[in-house]
Amino acid sequence: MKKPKILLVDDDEVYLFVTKKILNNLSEDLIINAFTDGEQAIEYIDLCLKENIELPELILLDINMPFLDGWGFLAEFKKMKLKLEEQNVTIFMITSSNDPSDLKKVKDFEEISGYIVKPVFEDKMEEILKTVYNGSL
Amino acid sequence: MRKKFLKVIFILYIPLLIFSLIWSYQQRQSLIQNLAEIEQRDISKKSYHLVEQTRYLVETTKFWSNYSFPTAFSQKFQIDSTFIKDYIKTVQVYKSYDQFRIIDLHGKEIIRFEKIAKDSMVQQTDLQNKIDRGYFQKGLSLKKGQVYVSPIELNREYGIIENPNKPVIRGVTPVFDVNGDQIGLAVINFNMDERLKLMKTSLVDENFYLIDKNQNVITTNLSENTSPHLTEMNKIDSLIYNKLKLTNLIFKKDTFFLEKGSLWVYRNVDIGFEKNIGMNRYEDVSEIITDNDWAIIQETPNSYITSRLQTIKNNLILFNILTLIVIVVVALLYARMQKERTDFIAQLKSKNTALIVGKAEIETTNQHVKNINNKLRVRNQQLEDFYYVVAHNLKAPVSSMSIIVDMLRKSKNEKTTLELLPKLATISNSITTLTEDVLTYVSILNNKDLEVENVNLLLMLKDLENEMLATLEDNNAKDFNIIYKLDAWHSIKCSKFYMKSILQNLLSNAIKYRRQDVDSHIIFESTWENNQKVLYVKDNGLGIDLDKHKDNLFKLYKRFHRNYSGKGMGLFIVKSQLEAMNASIKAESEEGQGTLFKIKFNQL
Repeated sequence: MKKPKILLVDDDEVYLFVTKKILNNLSEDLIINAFTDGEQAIEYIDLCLKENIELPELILLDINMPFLDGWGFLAEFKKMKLKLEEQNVTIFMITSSNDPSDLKKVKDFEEISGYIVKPVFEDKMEEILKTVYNGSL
Repeated sequence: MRKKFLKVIFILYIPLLIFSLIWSYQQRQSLIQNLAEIEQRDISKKSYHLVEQTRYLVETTKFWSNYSFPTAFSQKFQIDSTFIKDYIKTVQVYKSYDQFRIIDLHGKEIIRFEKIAKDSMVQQTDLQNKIDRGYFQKGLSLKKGQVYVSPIELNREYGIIENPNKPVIRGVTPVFDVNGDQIGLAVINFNMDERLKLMKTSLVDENFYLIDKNQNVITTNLSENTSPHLTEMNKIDSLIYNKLKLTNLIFKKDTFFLEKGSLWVYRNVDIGFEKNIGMNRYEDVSEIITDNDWAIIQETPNSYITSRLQTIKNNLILFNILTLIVIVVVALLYARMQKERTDFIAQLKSKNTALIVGKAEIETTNQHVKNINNKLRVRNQQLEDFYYVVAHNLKAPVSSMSIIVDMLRKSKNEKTTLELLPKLATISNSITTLTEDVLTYVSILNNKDLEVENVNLLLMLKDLENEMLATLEDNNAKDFNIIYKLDAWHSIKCSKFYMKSILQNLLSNAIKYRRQDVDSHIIFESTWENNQKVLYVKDNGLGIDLDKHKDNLFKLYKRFHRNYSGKGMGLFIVKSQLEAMNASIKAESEEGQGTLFKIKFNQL
């Protein structure tokens, strides 16, 4: 059985550390990749497509980041969507922003499966994983 | 108003006044012409009778020049008594026939018949000698068939003027005997008293003057005397004589004229020797010798003319009064209308001025509101940004912290605790940094009383250039050029501190993000757009992909170039400081080409 792949995109290194820890607590079989900005994440996905590496099933995406923010990432991601073929990628926005303008923007992207305001505690994360992997963990 | 009123009256009235004066003058001329014509008719009637009488005298007298007297005709041997009786009987009927005499060549009367009563002539035995009388002397020079007509004068008997006065005219002709020898003169006297009285009758109180060729008065209604110049003129006669010295009477022609206030009508009396004036009813015109060259003058006095002119005068005055009244009314109406119009125009003008002022005020207010609106919009955006910064950048570490705290609480593992504690320190540091950054931002937002002064951009940039040179040397990039195009303007009223910070940021960005493969430069160019000061800052550096980053260019903690150190605060601070100075900034950029910032300054 292949291991679930999760991609974390957030410029907050403490958040990355903490989230990785939470995810590891939930399951030890996860492959977790993390990037501190959207640009690096997009480059990684591009690389995956080129090298035929399997894409992560779940992306936890922050909005406010340097170089390329969450929205920028989504815009680029949308462009690649055709190449994604059958691969199912679920994207959750995990952000500290509950700004109405951000909430409104969510509706422009059908790729977004959920919008969660930080902090994300262990139970919340468990819930997300259950939704995505449908109890197959 | 008053002036206009008088002007209108003047303009309207003057032509009418002139018209009425001309009209009246013509009326007057026509009246005088009329009067003169009436007088002329009267004169011609009078002169006709005078001439008629004179002709009759001539004819009667001439009869005797053809009569053959007996050869021994004398006082004792007279002509046939039956004939003379018949003759007398015939002529005495004629009213004016006064005397009939035959005078011998020595002036002695031979026959003398004298009218003593109406229709009664009686032969006088009391005979006189007339040798020294003018008519006798004139008579002596006459040829056969010639008749002398004497002037009109007062009758004298024995050389003395008869009393009561009797104006007479005499016809004289030489008489001959059967042998053709002159025996003397026949003299016939006509009494002119009645004729002259008739002539003196007046139509309209005019004065009548019968004058001779020397302008001597024969008779006039103004004096009792007849031909006073032949005897002795009294005071009245002299006055009359002088009165008739009229300047308009130089030529003895029929005429009329106004002089000395009177209307004078002059007309010559033609006795009928000339055939050209319709007096040729006597076919056999006698040869008449006479000094009489009469003329008649009738003087219509001033008082009568004045009375006749009174109507015209009255009409003139009435016409002018009515005209004036009408004109005054018209002028009043006109002036009032003009005044109303002027008032109306003045009102319109003042309303218009008020409207213009109102419009200007509204425009000012509008501009003011627009400015305020703009400021509010900017301020709103700033608050939103501020909120976003706080909401996101502050919430992120706090939320991380809360998870760590939660984990610490749950963890019984000392290893985990040791792992997590340094993370708290990281969060604490980032919160501190954030707090400092936010404070910087808030201080910019909050700076209400910005210290404003005139800043010379050129000097400021030169100073910055010198400061930066050290950095440039360190970076081994001496060929970075700063180009100034500050001809349009180089001084601006602003906060010196902010301006320096802004220019420093832009300049250091340009240096930091320059392309290594080209000669780098930055251009500061000042210009005017829509009456506003505009500063362009253009570099040929790395540039930014605005398709990706347009929204985030001036946001906090946004960075666009990896491998370059930086907090992502520079342009955020630049924008905030510019907004604090009521200025705005926009960017155009192309990756690998460079970046252009446009800074628009509004009036502070």
